[in-house]
Amino acid sequence: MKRMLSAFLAGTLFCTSICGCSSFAPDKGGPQGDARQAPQGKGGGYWTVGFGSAALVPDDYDPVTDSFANTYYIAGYRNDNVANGMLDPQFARAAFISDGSTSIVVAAVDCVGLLKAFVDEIKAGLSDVVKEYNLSAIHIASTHTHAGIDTLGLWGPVGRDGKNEAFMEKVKLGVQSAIRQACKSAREGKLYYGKADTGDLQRDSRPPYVYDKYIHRFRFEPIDGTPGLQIITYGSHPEALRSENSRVSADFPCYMGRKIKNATGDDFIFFAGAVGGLISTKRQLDESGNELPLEQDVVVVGEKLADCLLSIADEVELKPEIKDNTHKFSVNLDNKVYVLLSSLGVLGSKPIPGGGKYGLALETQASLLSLGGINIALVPGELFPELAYGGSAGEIAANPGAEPYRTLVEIIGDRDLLVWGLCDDELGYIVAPNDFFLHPENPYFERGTDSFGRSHYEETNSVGIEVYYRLSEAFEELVKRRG
Amino acid sequence: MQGTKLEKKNNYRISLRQVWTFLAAAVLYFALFCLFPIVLVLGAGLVSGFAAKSLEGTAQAVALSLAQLSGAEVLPSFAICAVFAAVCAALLAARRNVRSIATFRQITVLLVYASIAGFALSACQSKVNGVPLRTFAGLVRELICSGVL
Repeated sequence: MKRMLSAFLAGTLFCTSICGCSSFAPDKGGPQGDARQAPQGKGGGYWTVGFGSAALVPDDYDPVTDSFANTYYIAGYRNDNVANGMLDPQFARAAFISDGSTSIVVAAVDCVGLLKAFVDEIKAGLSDVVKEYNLSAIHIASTHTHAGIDTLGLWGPVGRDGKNEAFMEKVKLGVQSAIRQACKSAREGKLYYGKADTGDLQRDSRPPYVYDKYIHRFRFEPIDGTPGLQIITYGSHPEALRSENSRVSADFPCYMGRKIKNATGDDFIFFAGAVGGLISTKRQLDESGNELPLEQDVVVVGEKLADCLLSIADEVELKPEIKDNTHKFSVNLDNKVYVLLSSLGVLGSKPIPGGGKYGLALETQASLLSLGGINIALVPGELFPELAYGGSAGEIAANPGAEPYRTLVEIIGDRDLLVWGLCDDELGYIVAPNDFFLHPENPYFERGTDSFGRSHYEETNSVGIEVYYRLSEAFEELVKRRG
Repeated sequence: MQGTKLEKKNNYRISLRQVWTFLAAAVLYFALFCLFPIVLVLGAGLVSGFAAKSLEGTAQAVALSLAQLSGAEVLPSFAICAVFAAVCAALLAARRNVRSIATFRQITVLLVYASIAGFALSACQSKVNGVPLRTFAGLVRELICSGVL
């Protein structure tokens, strides 16, 4: 009898320890969370990962009429593009990741970009979480959807701030909530890395035609068998909805994530890779060869990417080990449009004294993260892929006399380097210095056309020519720090 | 001759009244120099906002854009304000004890020049949302000259 009772008690305790933990579904817990540490790895080869998410839907949205009571501007393509409905909601998603001794949070927001000043504001409201869960770093990136509500200010009526104060507050609170949920929901499991070739899905609008055609995945599988998490990186602008669209959407990451969820139960977070210069997805065609309507195109693109991910069969298990270093630096602000918009309060970039033409600079940061030996460069803008992986415009380079530079792969010494773009800041395009060309009379206001007849759009949305030089110096420093 | 020397000595002795005058004037001038760029920028924003209601087309767009200045964060250059406040206060205090009308007028002229310089430099050296006001003004002028505005 005694033996049976002991066995019964032991069994009950065992079952309770397996089934009693919180699930990955985002809970509606209060902002403070429990005053406890997330479970640490026991050194048995397990990671500890948690996930949280928060929908970023304006309070005045009416799902019945699919309309907004207030004015919101769709960011990405043109000024004064007023949102007239919602195709799918924007989200903030976060993951807590720990190897047992180092814990970090990575978050991604469905929006066109978040400036460092705003990201720092979000992080400032998480000091309690940092302390409670002993976080070494929090990284907040933007997915760069070109169908989200303006979070930079550039897409209101010309010269006027396109941001909505209430929505920005919602974004801030949403990211903080997602991060708190992620920390609270952490559980042990294994982490795998895999990638899949996406074939002919991308296009590059500017030479050299260099981009990463793989979609990369870190897949977390909890040991208790519950649905896990997929952290996905792909080098393409989420702009399948193109410029004609006026409905709010997270673009293809939403439909990719939905298919993954339906197929596996896993949640997901999407990070844009090196998308500058300008990598996007091709318009999908129907069986007759006609272009699909845009609202169908975005679904097809998302589901094709999900199919690529679901086809990964040769993923490798990663040993629990996190290395994460951040280097802060400044870049001269030479873009006079940005200077003007900053002084008008349209761009909340808060310039500091610096060099360059206007004596102004922007503070920013770069990070070098390693998850189980897979290196990831966290870049504060839209990096031209050739700056990461190599390649040059060659004979048609518009600025061949530029100072030479090394690529990120060369600096970090890793051919399989991943890039997470728009991380912790959005400086705009990070253009290859040897192809940087400005309009001679009205730089940054108008696009320059070089002697080969090539129009240089990306320069008008960049901070200046020296960004990549400062960024590469930052990564040189990060590599030195790693030792 | 001895009487003349005594008169000259009285002109250059600093009285307690002068010291109080200097301190009070310095505080007042400092406040005025600091407030000037704030009033200038926020005022320009408010005026633009009102003007926009009766304008159309590009002019209205520009006015609405400038109207955003009414909510700008304006940071005066406290060092410039302090230096010129001290100079103006010193001139004002020195003028109190001057008996010669010619000298009084000269100091008054210097005071006016110093005040104007103080207001002008305070404006130029102040920052609007982190951008020097002179830089912002220069860019607006560039836009007008290039025909964009």
